Amino acid sequence: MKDQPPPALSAPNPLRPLQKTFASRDAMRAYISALSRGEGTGEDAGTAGRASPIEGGRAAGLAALALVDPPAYAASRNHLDGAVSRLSAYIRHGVLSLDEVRNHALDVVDNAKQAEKFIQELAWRDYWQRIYAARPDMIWHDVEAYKTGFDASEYDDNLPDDVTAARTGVACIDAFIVELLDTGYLHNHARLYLAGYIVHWRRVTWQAGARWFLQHLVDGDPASNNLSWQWVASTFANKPYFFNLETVARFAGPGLDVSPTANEPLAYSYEQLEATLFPHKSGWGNS
Amino acid sequence: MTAVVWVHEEALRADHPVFQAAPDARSVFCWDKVYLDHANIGLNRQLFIYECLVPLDVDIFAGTAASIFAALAKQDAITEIFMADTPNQLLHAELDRVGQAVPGSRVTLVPDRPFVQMDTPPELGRFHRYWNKARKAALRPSGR
Repeated sequence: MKDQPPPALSAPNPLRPLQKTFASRDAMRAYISALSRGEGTGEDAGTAGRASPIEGGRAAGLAALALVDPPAYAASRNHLDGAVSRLSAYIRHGVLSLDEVRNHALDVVDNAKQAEKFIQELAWRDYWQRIYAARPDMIWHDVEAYKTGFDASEYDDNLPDDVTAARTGVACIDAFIVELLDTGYLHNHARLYLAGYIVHWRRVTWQAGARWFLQHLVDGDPASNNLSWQWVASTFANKPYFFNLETVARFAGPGLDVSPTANEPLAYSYEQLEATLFPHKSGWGNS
Repeated sequence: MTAVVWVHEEALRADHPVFQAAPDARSVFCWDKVYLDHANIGLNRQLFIYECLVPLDVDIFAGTAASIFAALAKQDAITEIFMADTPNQLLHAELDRVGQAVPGSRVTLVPDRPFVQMDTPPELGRFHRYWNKARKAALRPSGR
């Protein structure tokens, strides 16, 4: 069928239901884009082109749930090409409940221990939501001071253009940015690498990065996302999270350029990076 | 008496308890571009949300929640509004505006089925403190 043009938002009858049948996902995407046109969100980088591969709806969520393999998840989840569940967008939007996902995980293992790692990741979601409910102020404000040797005022409030354009010149970082913009998804470790790079290498506020992630991640959630950024930044942790190229390479799948020449800012030992990134800090001890 | 379920982006499945709480109510989703922008919901996620809405028995209207509910109330007096509970402060601010647009209506917040139930609130300072309390219940299936 021919897709209808979306109604003008100032239409005299606000109770004209929007279209629910489309010839394709791309047609639905174009319709939605037109609904939001001119209001910022629909105009930013990564919105041109094709639909995200993460399909919405209960049927797609249940299909993803049926593929969950908790023991394989536990064994390989740290690898960028590991057996991660990709359920986060469905859980975040209530398409699947945490309760039913946990019950399913327990159903497909011989004993609960085999599903513990997977269920612990579900628990993180519950934990973040409980914090959000108890302390909504923590979502956009520093929970604690930075423990990086820098004051919050020394961090830039804006993302650099080369970051949003995936042109930082750091090959793995640019690859993660492209994946984020194109698919609306990143492996959890890639999120941590990218967040660590933005906050500590580029000294940008975690809020700027968190907002950008929320705009692009299909599973973007203010609590999980922002509090994880605060954890990386050290405003909700005892020390900052940073990483080096060796760590990225250890967990990288094929196809990611982890050569030192293409990733020079990351190609150092932890001690060297700590001295460079946090020159005013002399370790974190056990605090 | 007319009840309406205000569907939002955090409860997009037909068996969410909010729909069971008001099985005969009309369900509506308000596609508000200003809200979507304010909530940092970009196009990828907008598409995902829309795809979730399509198979649901939910009417999608373009406009602010307050304007949609005011228009609905002109058609038929709204006495009760059901909403899936959420910690999302932006949605609660929207709900306040809806309440002003439909004075006299009663609002019922319906929580999702819990992941774990704990006798005492968990300590939320760091995850391990929460997990120490939640672990036992989390590793048990619910309702069995």
